[in-house]
Amino acid sequence: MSIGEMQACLARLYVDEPFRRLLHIEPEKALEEYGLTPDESAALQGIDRKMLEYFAASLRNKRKKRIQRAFPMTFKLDRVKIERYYRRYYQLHTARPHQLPHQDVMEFGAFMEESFAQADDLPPYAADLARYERLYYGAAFASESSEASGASPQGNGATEERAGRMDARPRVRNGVQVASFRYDVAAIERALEEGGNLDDLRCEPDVNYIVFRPATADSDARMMRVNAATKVVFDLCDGRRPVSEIMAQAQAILRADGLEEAIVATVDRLLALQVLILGGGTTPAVSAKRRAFGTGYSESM
Amino acid sequence: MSHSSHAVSSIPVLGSGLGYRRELKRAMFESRDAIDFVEIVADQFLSDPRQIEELEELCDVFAVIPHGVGLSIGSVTLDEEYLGAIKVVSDVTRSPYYSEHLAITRVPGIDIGHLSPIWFTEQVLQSTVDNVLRVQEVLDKPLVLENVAYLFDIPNASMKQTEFFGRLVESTGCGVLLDLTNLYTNSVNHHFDPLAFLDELPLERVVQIHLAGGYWANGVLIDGHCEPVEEGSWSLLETLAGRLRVKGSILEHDANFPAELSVLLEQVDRARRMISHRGTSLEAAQAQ
Repeated sequence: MSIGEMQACLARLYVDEPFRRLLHIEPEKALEEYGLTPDESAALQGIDRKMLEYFAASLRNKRKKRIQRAFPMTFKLDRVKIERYYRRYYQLHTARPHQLPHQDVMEFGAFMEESFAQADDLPPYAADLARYERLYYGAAFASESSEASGASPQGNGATEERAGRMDARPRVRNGVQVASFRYDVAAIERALEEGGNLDDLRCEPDVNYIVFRPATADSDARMMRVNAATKVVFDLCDGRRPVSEIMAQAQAILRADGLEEAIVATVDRLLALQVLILGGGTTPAVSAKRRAFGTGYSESM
Repeated sequence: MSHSSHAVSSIPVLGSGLGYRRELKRAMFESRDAIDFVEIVADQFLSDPRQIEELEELCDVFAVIPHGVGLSIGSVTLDEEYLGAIKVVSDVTRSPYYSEHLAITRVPGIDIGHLSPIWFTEQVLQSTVDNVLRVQEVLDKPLVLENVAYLFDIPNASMKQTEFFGRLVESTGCGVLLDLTNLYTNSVNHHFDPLAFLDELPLERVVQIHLAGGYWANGVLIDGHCEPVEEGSWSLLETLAGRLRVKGSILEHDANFPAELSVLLEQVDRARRMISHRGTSLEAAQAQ
């Protein structure tokens, strides 16, 4: 009568290492959470322990492989230490039915960022690197949304759009994010890719802004570094403000006059890069604060 | 629809084919004449409408059999949402059957992440029968279930896997997808005679076979789908093809993709030759 309990217990044995250990050390304690018959309890305790561990390790490694594809540089930081964090993540975040693979990848990235931020045994840029890879993965995944891939009427021909009209209201394309990093993560990524000595890399804290853009109809997902002034313009392009207001507010924030042409040129450049699109103001614009915390991806996935 | 109308016996001969993997897409389309049919992993076509377009493109060129991994037919309850999703894929393919694994992949709150063995007991048999009947009702076609590779048995079972299969197909009319490599792998890892397994299996319900190649790790043969098919699996096909007409053979290869598809096509061709020219003593015996 308790086959559901038996299966629930089996599945937990496969994915929960402390539970497996408890079963072998103190089986009655481990199994008291489940309503099992004596036969079922005996069957669970009779499973080949070595092969059960082998199977459990294969499940853990299979999931890691999928995650590792999204975080190749993070996993290169320190194999032993990153494995330790991965195993912690694996233990704390059991894969759930209906959880899409990309959700797992994004949760892992967030976990690593938080963990690395307080880790004193990893390089100071580790959290930035994990976030960088998470945002890039998020942009690549968001490529599957219709607007991101240029399938929407607004997205088609985006390179032809211009901000010439002062009443145009540019907004950020769905799936695009801009994030600030304390370290030059692009340089760190290059160094890791080339297998260079990271100790030689000067990693001085600074402010680096990077835009993550999903793939479009005519190009792959990409990242682009932007300067602080462009970031100001970018943040003002929320689909509600017309270009005229963006110009006025950007000049106020930057405490400079005579930037009208430069600001229009910046908006045009971002339109050409398909980071912005001209759309009516119906976009649920992601606030700069939310983007900074890296949660904007959820709206486009 | 009752199971009696899900005629496994009327499933046509499909020939010898290859598991569709996106990494192989271009090469497979270029070699369409060397591939009798393809098998897709249904779960890879569930998350985006554009995957259905991809599937339709595939169906324009090949006969396509959908093969799932996430149904968890051995679980106490079926995931109706998942069932609805695979129904879409199944309908697009217009396949004569839908195949899955005789396994568990999820329980409430946990996605195991891989196929895990079921416990061969009366209770599990009954819930599996109910599940198979429900799946066949929703999909409106026969379900064909595959024997899985397993690293351990769940002890104290009340019946053998072969009896479980026999009673399951008898109660539901479903078919068997006999993965010869899984059988070979299990026989090596668990030290049993694979021919005895064939003797006990309801071979008349075998609709399709799988072949693949694995590797050794720490003294265990792993069903890795990443190497050429072992001679042990070919030998089992030789035996099987002497006993029945195998309607379809699929080569599964998921990793270590060769530079040239011909490496895989040679194995597809070998299987084709073996299942095309072998005797059908079982069918002949049944006809008498």
